[in-house]
Amino acid sequence: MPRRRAGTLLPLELRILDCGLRLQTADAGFHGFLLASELKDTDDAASLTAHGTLYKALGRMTERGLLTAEWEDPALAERAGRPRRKLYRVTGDGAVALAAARAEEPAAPLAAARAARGLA
Amino acid sequence: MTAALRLGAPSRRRRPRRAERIVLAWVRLYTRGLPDAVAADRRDELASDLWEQEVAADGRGGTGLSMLWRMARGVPADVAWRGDRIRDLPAAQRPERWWRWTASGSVLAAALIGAAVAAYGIDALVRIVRVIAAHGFPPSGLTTVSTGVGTVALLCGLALLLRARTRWIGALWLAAGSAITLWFGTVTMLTLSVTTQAIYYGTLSYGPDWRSPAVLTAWGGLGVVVLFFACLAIAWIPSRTEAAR
Repeated sequence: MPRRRAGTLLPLELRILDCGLRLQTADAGFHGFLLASELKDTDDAASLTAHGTLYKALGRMTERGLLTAEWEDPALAERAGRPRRKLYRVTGDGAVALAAARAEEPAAPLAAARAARGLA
Repeated sequence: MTAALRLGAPSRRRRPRRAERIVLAWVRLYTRGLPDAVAADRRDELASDLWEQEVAADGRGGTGLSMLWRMARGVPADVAWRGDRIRDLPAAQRPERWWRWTASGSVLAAALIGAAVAAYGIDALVRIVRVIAAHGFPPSGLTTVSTGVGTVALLCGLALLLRARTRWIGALWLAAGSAITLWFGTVTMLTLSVTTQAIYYGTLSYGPDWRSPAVLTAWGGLGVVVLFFACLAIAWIPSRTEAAR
């Protein structure tokens, strides 16, 4: 079976990096469902990304160093009365990989979709 | 919604809905036998996701269905993720008993389900041959050819299951063969089988209706069977090291 060329990013991974950079702030990352909601809104999709697809991609990207993942302080979650969140952040490598992919394919669906929605 | 999701909703204790319990039961199943830390990580992450989705929905309907739909579409990825996690483990730490049971059990299940669908296709073909013998022409050329192609694909898939190296290709053939055979075989049966006609149309009040139990069972069954074989194909794809051996 043909395997993906090392370093190549899948369309979903590019969208995750793109949305992740918009969602993360200086002191806070983003959690899985927040990302799924943002992906749905950005793509104007009918449904949220499937659990398996989303978390498999997040795990793979974390292993490749494109994202970092960290569980939030359990005490914080306890105070908020909800399960603790796993928070992701796009790394410098992730931002560089996204920029490189955009430079390679300026008319990629991601850019076209964002331009159509007035985001670019 | 984004701001609310980021800041967190007001604290409230609530009973998990049925869909959440089903999703978490599926997570427990596919993380079974994995190291505790890996399994707990995935379970906690899904529990958080489901909680956030419930809060974001804020009582709007359809959340349970959305959760189940997200789970169903992610099943192949979950199966692949599990396979990757097991392959990552040193041989001594692999969940041998569970792994052996699922390996042999899944091959057996694939063989039995594939054989059952092939038998269904052969039954449809026999009926078509009888019509040709009686009238000199088939009920529909496209249906006849498609049912034949689907059945042959199933038989090829069953043969490919015999060798571990070709098993994943066999599962792909079974998925494709099942989709074709169940679709066109059912079209054939609706024309040529009185029993199928009685079951199918007996539940329809005012003509064909996709919500009738027979229609939902038929097409839902087709989807489940194809998804089952697709998952097996993903789970059986040999790793790079296995393929090199």
